[in-house]
Amino acid sequence: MKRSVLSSRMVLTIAALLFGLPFLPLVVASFSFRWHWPDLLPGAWLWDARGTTPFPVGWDYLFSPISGLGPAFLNTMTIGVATSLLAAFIALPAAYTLARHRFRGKEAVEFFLLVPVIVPQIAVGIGMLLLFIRLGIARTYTGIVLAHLVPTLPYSVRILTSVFQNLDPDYEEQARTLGASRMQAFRRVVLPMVLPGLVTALLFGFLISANVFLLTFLISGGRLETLPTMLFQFIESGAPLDATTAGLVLIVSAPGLVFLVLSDLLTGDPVAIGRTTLVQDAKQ
Amino acid sequence: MNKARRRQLSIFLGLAPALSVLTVLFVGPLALALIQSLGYAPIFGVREFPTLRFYTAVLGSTRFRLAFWYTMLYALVPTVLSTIFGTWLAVAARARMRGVRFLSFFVRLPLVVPYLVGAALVVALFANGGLVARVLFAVGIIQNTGDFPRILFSAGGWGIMLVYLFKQVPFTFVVVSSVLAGIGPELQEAARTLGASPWRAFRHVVLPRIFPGIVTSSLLVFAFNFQSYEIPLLLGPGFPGTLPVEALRRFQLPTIARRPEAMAYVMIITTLSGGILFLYLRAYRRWERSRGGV
Repeated sequence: MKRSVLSSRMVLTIAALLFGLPFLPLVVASFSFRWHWPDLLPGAWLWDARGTTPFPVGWDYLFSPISGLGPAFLNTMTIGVATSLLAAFIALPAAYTLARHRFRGKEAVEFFLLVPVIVPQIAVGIGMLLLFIRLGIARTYTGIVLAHLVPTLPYSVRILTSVFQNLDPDYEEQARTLGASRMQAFRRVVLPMVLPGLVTALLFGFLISANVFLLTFLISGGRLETLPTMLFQFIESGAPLDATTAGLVLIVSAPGLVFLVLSDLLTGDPVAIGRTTLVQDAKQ
Repeated sequence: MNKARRRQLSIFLGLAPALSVLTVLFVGPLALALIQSLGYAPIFGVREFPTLRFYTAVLGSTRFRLAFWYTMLYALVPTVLSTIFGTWLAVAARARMRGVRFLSFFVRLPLVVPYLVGAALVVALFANGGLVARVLFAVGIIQNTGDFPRILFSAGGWGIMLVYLFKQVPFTFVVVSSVLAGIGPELQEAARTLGASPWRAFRHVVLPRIFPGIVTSSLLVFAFNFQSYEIPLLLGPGFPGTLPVEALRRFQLPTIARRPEAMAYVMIITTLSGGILFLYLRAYRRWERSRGGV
């Protein structure tokens, strides 16, 4: 048995290196000024070159107003927050209904709510662009947020449904027995208990939106830049190990990294976390 | 209002927002693409509804056939490989040992970054002037950038498939891990105690229980690869593009009267993808039933 644990550790370590290590050369590249073939390390670093170039390079370029990183970052954040809030708001009643009720056609409803994940985005995207042009919301924030709802909503419904399924309906019934209205029972009892799950759904929705490329590319028509569309252009025109592209890759990866750390902190049974907060509230 | 009616009303009100949003934003665009592909597209000056002209134009072209086979190749190879390696990793990570959480953090990292990040990493490592070529030069295996095999921008699609693997081995890992967490280690340990080899314990005890999870994850991976746009566009050869790349090229044709071909393309892509997934699921169900019958 001991030997199998050892080899498991080896397999996992190799995998961690394979998937984590590729980021390292980009960290190095992002601080480089010159990294010619066939050097294994940059020939000149960013801090050596400062002041010798007519315009800023590398990180200095990315953080200067001419790069457009600021607006792209703000657009990604705004669209991501709006999309995840809207998706959770729309998904919440559906998830609650799916978790609590059995009804005819339920399987069909569940299937329909998942289909957007499987149907090619290009098929939805092209039709959506024409529809949005007609509605006058192509190339607007509204248009992009609505477009991002399509890949986000299925996941929000899915996550929230499982959150409600794990929640014992007894608590709600007790609140109702004690005289709370349906709305009160939901707001004061159910909602605080599903809060960790809701936060997970919001984070996940944000992450999906922040990573979408094709739908943004189609609907924005190049007028609104987000981090992924900006990265696309840099990869298309940049050389391998180019400092600016490398820096941008690290910035584009940041939301995912934050998500991973936060979700690791949040893991554990969301309902259990909800209950402990309730107990703490009661103690105060 | 009686109780049953109230219940029906609350089910209806609960589902209405999500269903109507998806109907407008998801079904609407697909319906629009469908009628345009059949010849009703006044904005492109096409009013021939109903016609199959655009479908025959697409299906009859060599470009389409080539694009189809390359799309299948780029979608299928990473699906098979990431299913095998992702499952293997998930099983390995289940062993009770210190550091699993820490190590699995790095394995899950690719999952949360855009595919474009994967593309940038593959370019940095595997371009002809990339880091791997430099290491090979340093140890004397190659003499110049031209000696390094063309991994990017070639019809073999190695670059494309590497990006998919970078994202999808971790995806399979996470899906299978969560299924494994649900079944607990006791049965496998019992099998091992009774003398089964690790492989036999996996094959006969663990695998049947995680199989539905493996089917689901491979299905999602294939569905994604089949419709991916930006990765084949950036890392594939210029010609032929994959089906989605060709579809958008049709949409950008200077002759706007031919643009409904793009709609025919996306309808064909959707039908093919749906058809393949359906056949896959049906084969799985049949196999499952035949196994249950024994």
